[in-house]
Amino acid sequence: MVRNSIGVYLLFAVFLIWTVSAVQSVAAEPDPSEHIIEIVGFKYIPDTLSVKAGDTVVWINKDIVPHTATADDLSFDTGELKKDESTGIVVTKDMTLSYYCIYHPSMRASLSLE
Amino acid sequence: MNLKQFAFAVTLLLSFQAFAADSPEDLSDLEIAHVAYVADLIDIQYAHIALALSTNPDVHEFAKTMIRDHEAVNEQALALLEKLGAEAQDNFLSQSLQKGAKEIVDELTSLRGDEFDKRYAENELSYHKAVNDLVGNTFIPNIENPEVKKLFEAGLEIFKAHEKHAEMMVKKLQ
Repeated sequence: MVRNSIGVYLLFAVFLIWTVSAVQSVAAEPDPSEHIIEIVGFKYIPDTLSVKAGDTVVWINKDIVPHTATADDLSFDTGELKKDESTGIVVTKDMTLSYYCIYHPSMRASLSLE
Repeated sequence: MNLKQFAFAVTLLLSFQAFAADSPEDLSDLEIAHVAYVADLIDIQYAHIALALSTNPDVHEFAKTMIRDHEAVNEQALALLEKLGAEAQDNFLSQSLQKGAKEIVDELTSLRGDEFDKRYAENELSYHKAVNDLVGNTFIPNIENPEVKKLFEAGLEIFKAHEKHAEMMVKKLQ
Protein backbone atom coordinates (compact mmCIF):
# COMPACT_ATOMS: atom_id res chain seq x y z
CA MET A 1 0.00 0.00 0.00
CA VAL A 2 2.78 2.45 1.06
CA ARG A 3 4.90 1.29 -1.86
CA ASN A 4 1.99 2.00 -4.21
CA SER A 5 1.56 5.53 -2.77
CA ILE A 6 5.25 6.29 -3.28
CA GLY A 7 4.94 5.08 -6.85
CA VAL A 8 2.01 7.39 -7.51
CA TYR A 9 3.87 10.37 -5.95
CA LEU A 10 6.95 9.60 -8.06
CA LEU A 11 4.88 9.36 -11.19
CA PHE A 12 3.18 12.67 -10.37
CA ALA A 13 6.56 14.35 -9.70
CA VAL A 14 7.95 13.12 -13.03
CA PHE A 15 4.83 14.36 -14.83
CA LEU A 16 5.13 17.77 -13.08
CA ILE A 17 8.79 18.16 -14.06
CA TRP A 18 8.04 17.17 -17.64
CA THR A 19 5.13 19.64 -17.84
CA VAL A 20 7.17 22.54 -16.38
CA SER A 21 10.10 21.89 -18.73
CA ALA A 22 7.72 21.64 -21.70
CA VAL A 23 6.10 24.96 -20.76
CA GLN A 24 9.54 26.56 -20.30
CA SER A 25 10.72 25.38 -23.69
CA VAL A 26 7.57 26.76 -25.33
CA ALA A 27 8.09 30.08 -23.54
CA ALA A 28 11.73 30.21 -24.68
CA GLU A 29 10.85 29.77 -28.36
CA PRO A 30 8.02 32.03 -29.48
CA ASP A 31 5.74 30.92 -32.30
CA PRO A 32 7.12 31.39 -35.81
CA SER A 33 5.96 34.62 -37.46
CA GLU A 34 4.86 35.43 -40.98
CA HIS A 35 6.47 38.43 -42.69
CA ILE A 36 5.20 40.13 -45.82
CA ILE A 37 7.52 41.71 -48.40
CA GLU A 38 5.78 43.66 -51.16
CA ILE A 39 7.37 44.10 -54.58
CA VAL A 40 6.35 47.56 -55.76
CA GLY A 41 7.94 49.76 -58.42
CA PHE A 42 10.90 47.40 -58.88
CA LYS A 43 11.69 47.49 -55.15
CA TYR A 44 11.35 44.95 -52.31
CA ILE A 45 9.57 46.67 -49.42
CA PRO A 46 11.08 46.39 -46.86
CA ASP A 47 14.46 45.79 -48.46
CA THR A 48 15.96 44.55 -45.18
CA LEU A 49 14.03 42.34 -42.77
CA SER A 50 14.96 40.70 -39.49
CA VAL A 51 13.71 37.09 -39.27
CA LYS A 52 14.33 33.97 -37.24
CA ALA A 53 14.55 30.30 -38.21
CA GLY A 54 11.07 28.86 -38.63
CA ASP A 55 9.49 32.16 -39.71
CA THR A 56 7.81 32.37 -43.09
CA VAL A 57 8.59 35.18 -45.51
CA VAL A 58 5.89 35.88 -48.11
CA TRP A 59 6.72 37.90 -51.20
CA ILE A 60 3.76 39.57 -52.98
CA ASN A 61 4.25 41.11 -56.42
CA LYS A 62 2.26 44.32 -56.90
CA ASP A 63 4.00 45.29 -60.16
CA ILE A 64 2.59 44.79 -63.64
CA VAL A 65 5.58 42.73 -64.71
CA PRO A 66 6.70 39.39 -63.23
CA HIS A 67 9.46 39.26 -60.62
CA THR A 68 11.23 36.67 -58.47
CA ALA A 69 12.95 36.66 -55.08
CA THR A 70 15.95 34.41 -55.66
CA ALA A 71 18.88 33.74 -53.29
CA ASP A 72 22.25 34.93 -54.59
CA ASP A 73 23.41 31.29 -54.66
CA LEU A 74 20.00 30.14 -56.00
CA SER A 75 19.40 28.11 -52.79
CA PHE A 76 15.89 29.53 -52.53
CA ASP A 77 13.61 30.91 -55.21
CA THR A 78 10.00 32.05 -55.21
CA GLY A 79 9.77 31.26 -58.90
CA GLU A 80 8.00 33.66 -61.22
CA LEU A 81 5.49 35.89 -59.42
CA LYS A 82 3.04 37.56 -61.77
CA LYS A 83 0.97 40.59 -60.73
CA ASP A 84 -0.73 39.96 -57.34
CA GLU A 85 0.80 36.49 -56.97
CA SER A 86 2.63 35.51 -53.78
CA THR A 87 4.87 32.74 -52.44
CA GLY A 88 6.08 31.98 -48.92
CA ILE A 89 9.43 30.50 -47.94
CA VAL A 90 10.30 29.12 -44.49
CA VAL A 91 13.49 30.57 -43.01
CA THR A 92 16.21 28.11 -42.04
CA LYS A 93 19.28 28.71 -39.86
CA ASP A 94 21.77 28.22 -42.67
CA MET A 95 19.92 29.91 -45.50
CA THR A 96 21.51 32.49 -47.80
CA LEU A 97 20.14 35.87 -46.81
CA SER A 98 20.76 38.14 -49.79
CA TYR A 99 18.48 37.81 -52.77
CA TYR A 100 17.57 39.50 -56.06
CA CYS A 101 15.13 39.39 -58.95
CA ILE A 102 16.46 36.99 -61.54
CA TYR A 103 14.70 38.97 -64.30
CA HIS A 104 15.84 42.40 -63.09
CA PRO A 105 19.29 42.01 -61.48
CA SER A 106 19.38 45.61 -60.22
CA MET A 107 16.59 44.70 -57.74
CA ARG A 108 18.34 43.52 -54.57
CA ALA A 109 17.41 43.06 -50.89
CA SER A 110 18.33 40.93 -47.88
CA LEU A 111 17.07 39.19 -44.75
CA SER A 112 18.95 39.19 -41.44
CA LEU A 113 18.79 36.27 -39.03
CA GLU A 114 18.04 37.13 -35.36
CA MET B 1 26.77 58.07 -75.97
CA ASN B 2 28.58 56.68 -79.00
CA LEU B 3 28.12 57.78 -82.59
CA LYS B 4 25.39 55.24 -83.41
CA GLN B 5 23.40 56.07 -80.27
CA PHE B 6 23.77 59.77 -81.03
CA ALA B 7 22.62 59.20 -84.62
CA PHE B 8 19.57 57.26 -83.34
CA ALA B 9 18.67 60.06 -80.92
CA VAL B 10 19.04 62.67 -83.66
CA THR B 11 16.89 60.58 -86.04
CA LEU B 12 14.19 60.29 -83.39
CA LEU B 13 14.33 64.02 -82.71
CA LEU B 14 14.21 64.86 -86.42
CA SER B 15 11.27 62.51 -86.84
CA PHE B 16 9.41 64.49 -84.22
CA GLN B 17 10.38 67.84 -85.75
CA ALA B 18 9.51 66.73 -89.27
CA PHE B 19 5.94 66.43 -88.08
CA ALA B 20 5.90 69.74 -86.25
CA ALA B 21 2.29 70.26 -87.25
CA ASP B 22 1.48 67.07 -85.36
CA SER B 23 3.97 67.24 -82.52
CA PRO B 24 3.99 64.56 -79.77
CA GLU B 25 2.55 67.16 -77.36
CA ASP B 26 -0.60 67.31 -79.49
CA LEU B 27 -1.35 63.60 -79.41
CA SER B 28 -4.55 62.44 -77.73
CA ASP B 29 -4.55 59.80 -74.99
CA LEU B 30 -5.60 57.14 -77.52
CA GLU B 31 -2.82 58.14 -79.91
CA ILE B 32 -0.30 58.10 -77.07
CA ALA B 33 -1.54 54.61 -76.13
CA HIS B 34 -0.93 53.50 -79.73
CA VAL B 35 2.63 54.87 -79.70
CA ALA B 36 3.38 53.05 -76.45
CA TYR B 37 1.88 49.82 -77.75
CA VAL B 38 3.98 50.03 -80.93
CA ALA B 39 7.11 50.91 -78.93
CA ASP B 40 6.55 47.77 -76.82
CA LEU B 41 6.07 45.62 -79.92
CA ILE B 42 9.27 46.98 -81.46
CA ASP B 43 11.31 46.05 -78.41
CA ILE B 44 9.73 42.59 -78.37
CA GLN B 45 10.74 42.23 -82.03
CA TYR B 46 14.36 43.19 -81.23
CA ALA B 47 14.34 40.65 -78.38
CA HIS B 48 13.18 37.84 -80.66
CA ILE B 49 16.00 38.68 -83.07
CA ALA B 50 18.45 38.52 -80.15
CA LEU B 51 17.14 35.11 -79.11
CA ALA B 52 17.54 33.88 -82.67
CA LEU B 53 20.99 35.31 -83.40
CA SER B 54 22.89 35.57 -80.12
CA THR B 55 24.53 32.74 -78.23
CA ASN B 56 25.43 34.90 -75.23
CA PRO B 57 23.47 33.74 -72.10
CA ASP B 58 23.31 37.31 -70.68
CA VAL B 59 21.85 38.62 -73.92
CA HIS B 60 19.32 35.78 -73.92
CA GLU B 61 18.25 36.53 -70.32
CA PHE B 62 17.88 40.22 -71.10
CA ALA B 63 15.90 39.51 -74.29
CA LYS B 64 13.56 37.13 -72.44
CA THR B 65 12.98 39.84 -69.80
CA MET B 66 12.14 42.37 -72.51
CA ILE B 67 9.59 40.00 -74.05
CA ARG B 68 8.06 39.10 -70.66
CA ASP B 69 7.83 42.71 -69.42
CA HIS B 70 6.69 44.42 -72.61
CA GLU B 71 4.04 41.76 -73.18
CA ALA B 72 2.81 42.27 -69.60
CA VAL B 73 2.60 46.04 -70.10
CA ASN B 74 0.74 45.68 -73.39
CA GLU B 75 -1.66 43.22 -71.78
CA GLN B 76 -2.46 45.81 -69.10
CA ALA B 77 -2.82 48.54 -71.72
CA LEU B 78 -5.27 46.46 -73.77
CA ALA B 79 -7.25 45.58 -70.63
CA LEU B 80 -7.50 49.27 -69.75
CA LEU B 81 -8.60 50.23 -73.26
CA GLU B 82 -11.24 47.53 -73.14
CA LYS B 83 -12.44 48.79 -69.77
CA LEU B 84 -12.63 52.31 -71.17
CA GLY B 85 -14.42 51.02 -74.28
CA ALA B 86 -11.79 52.71 -76.46
CA GLU B 87 -9.35 51.74 -79.19
CA ALA B 88 -5.78 52.98 -79.64
CA GLN B 89 -5.39 55.27 -82.66
CA ASP B 90 -2.60 55.02 -85.21
CA ASN B 91 -0.70 58.27 -85.79
CA PHE B 92 2.41 59.85 -87.31
CA LEU B 93 4.63 59.01 -84.35
CA SER B 94 3.70 55.30 -84.29
CA GLN B 95 4.48 55.17 -88.02
CA SER B 96 7.76 57.01 -87.54
CA LEU B 97 8.81 54.58 -84.82
CA GLN B 98 7.98 51.60 -87.04
CA LYS B 99 10.01 53.08 -89.89
CA GLY B 100 13.00 53.62 -87.61
CA ALA B 101 12.66 50.10 -86.24
CA LYS B 102 12.80 48.59 -89.71
CA GLU B 103 16.22 50.13 -90.24
CA ILE B 104 17.46 48.80 -86.91
CA VAL B 105 16.07 45.32 -87.68
CA ASP B 106 17.90 45.33 -91.03
CA GLU B 107 21.12 46.32 -89.29
CA LEU B 108 20.78 43.82 -86.44
CA THR B 109 20.01 40.90 -88.73
CA SER B 110 23.18 41.60 -90.72
CA LEU B 111 25.40 41.18 -87.66
CA ARG B 112 26.68 38.07 -85.85
CA GLY B 113 28.62 37.13 -82.72
CA ASP B 114 30.07 39.82 -80.45
CA GLU B 115 29.28 42.48 -83.01
CA PHE B 116 25.59 41.61 -82.81
CA ASP B 117 25.57 41.43 -78.98
CA LYS B 118 27.21 44.84 -78.62
CA ARG B 119 24.93 46.50 -81.14
CA TYR B 120 21.81 44.92 -79.62
CA ALA B 121 22.82 46.10 -76.13
CA GLU B 122 23.69 49.61 -77.33
CA ASN B 123 20.42 49.88 -79.21
CA GLU B 124 18.46 48.71 -76.16
CA LEU B 125 20.13 51.41 -74.09
CA SER B 126 19.54 54.23 -76.59
CA TYR B 127 16.01 53.03 -77.38
CA HIS B 128 14.95 52.93 -73.71
CA LYS B 129 16.61 56.30 -73.07
CA ALA B 130 14.73 57.89 -75.98
CA VAL B 131 11.39 56.28 -75.09
CA ASN B 132 11.75 57.13 -71.38
CA ASP B 133 12.46 60.74 -72.25
CA LEU B 134 9.37 60.85 -74.45
CA VAL B 135 7.12 59.13 -71.89
CA GLY B 136 8.39 61.08 -68.87
CA ASN B 137 8.67 64.55 -70.37
CA THR B 138 5.99 64.62 -73.06
CA PHE B 139 3.40 61.86 -72.67
CA ILE B 140 2.78 61.75 -68.91
CA PRO B 141 2.39 65.55 -68.52
CA ASN B 142 -0.11 65.60 -71.43
CA ILE B 143 -2.24 62.50 -70.69
CA GLU B 144 -5.71 63.52 -69.53
CA ASN B 145 -7.27 60.26 -68.35
CA PRO B 146 -6.05 59.48 -64.78
CA GLU B 147 -6.08 55.69 -65.32
CA VAL B 148 -4.07 55.96 -68.53
CA LYS B 149 -1.65 58.34 -66.77
CA LYS B 150 -1.24 55.86 -63.89
CA LEU B 151 -0.45 53.04 -66.31
CA PHE B 152 2.17 55.18 -68.07
CA GLU B 153 3.74 56.11 -64.73
CA ALA B 154 4.02 52.40 -63.87
CA GLY B 155 5.36 51.74 -67.37
CA LEU B 156 8.02 54.42 -66.97
CA GLU B 157 9.29 52.76 -63.80
CA ILE B 158 9.61 49.48 -65.69
CA PHE B 159 11.39 51.03 -68.67
CA LYS B 160 13.79 52.93 -66.42
CA ALA B 161 14.75 49.59 -64.85
CA HIS B 162 15.27 48.24 -68.38
CA GLU B 163 17.50 51.21 -69.17
CA LYS B 164 19.65 50.42 -66.10
CA HIS B 165 19.75 46.75 -67.05
CA ALA B 166 20.78 47.65 -70.63
CA GLU B 167 23.48 49.94 -69.23
CA MET B 168 24.86 47.01 -67.19
CA MET B 169 24.80 44.80 -70.27
CA VAL B 170 26.60 47.37 -72.45
CA LYS B 171 29.37 47.66 -69.82
CA LYS B 172 29.67 43.88 -69.50
CA LEU B 173 29.97 43.41 -73.26
CA GLN B 174 32.69 46.04 -73.70
